[in-house]
Amino acid sequence: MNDITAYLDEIILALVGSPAVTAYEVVRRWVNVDDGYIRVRATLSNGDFLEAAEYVVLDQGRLVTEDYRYQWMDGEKKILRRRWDSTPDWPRLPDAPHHMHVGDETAVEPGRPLSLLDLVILLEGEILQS
Amino acid sequence: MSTSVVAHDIERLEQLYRAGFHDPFLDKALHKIIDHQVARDEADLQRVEEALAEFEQRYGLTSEAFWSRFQAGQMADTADFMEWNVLCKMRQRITARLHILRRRDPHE
Repeated sequence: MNDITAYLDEIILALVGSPAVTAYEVVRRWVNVDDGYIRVRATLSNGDFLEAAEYVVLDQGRLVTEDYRYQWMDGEKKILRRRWDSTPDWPRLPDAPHHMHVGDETAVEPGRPLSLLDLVILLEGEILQS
Repeated sequence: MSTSVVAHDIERLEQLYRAGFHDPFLDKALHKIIDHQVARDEADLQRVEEALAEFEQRYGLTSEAFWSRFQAGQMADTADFMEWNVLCKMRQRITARLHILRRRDPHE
C-alpha cells in the first residue's frame, strides 16, 4: 500500500464515519505511483446531494491536493448550494484558481485549497448545526 | 522512508560508481529496479490513455485541444472536464517519469 492508496482509503473511512453522510458511492478511483484520484457521490443526512472529486499528488514525499471539485446540491439536484473547485475559469479572483460558487453558478467568491477530508468536516459543521 | 533519506542513499551509490566501483550483483539489481518502475508506469499510462480516448470520443476533441482550452479557462467546470483535466495531468507526470527512466545517455 502506498501513501496515495492510504489517503484514498482515509477518505472512504471519513465518509463511512461521518454523521453528515447517509450513503455514498465511489464512482472512480485511480491510483498511480505518485498521484491518485477519487470521485464519489453521497447522500447527506439532510437529504442533500454531494458529488466530490479530488486529485492528489505526492510532492517531495508530501501529499498535496492538486485539483478538486465538490458540488453540494439539494436532494433533487436542482439547486446549487455550493461548489468549491479549482478549475481555472475565474482567473481574476484572488487566490485563483481556487474559488467557490454560492447558491448560483454565477455567484463566485474566492476560495482556498480544500481536501475532501476538510470538506467532510466542513459539511458536518454546516449540516449538523442547522 | 522519507524522500530525502532515499535521495541520500542514491547519492551515496552515485558517489561509489563515479569513483569506479563496479559490482555485477548491484548492477543487475539497479537495472531490475528501473525495469520494474518502467513496467508499472507503462501499465498506468496505458490505463490513462484508454480513459483519455473515451473522453476524446465522447466530446469530439483531442486531449491536447481540451487541455489548452481548459487551462485558458474556456471550458465549463463540470465533473467530466475536471476528470479529463486530471487524466491529462496524470499522463504528463507518467510520461515525464518514463522519459527519465528510459534514458540511456545521462546527458540526453
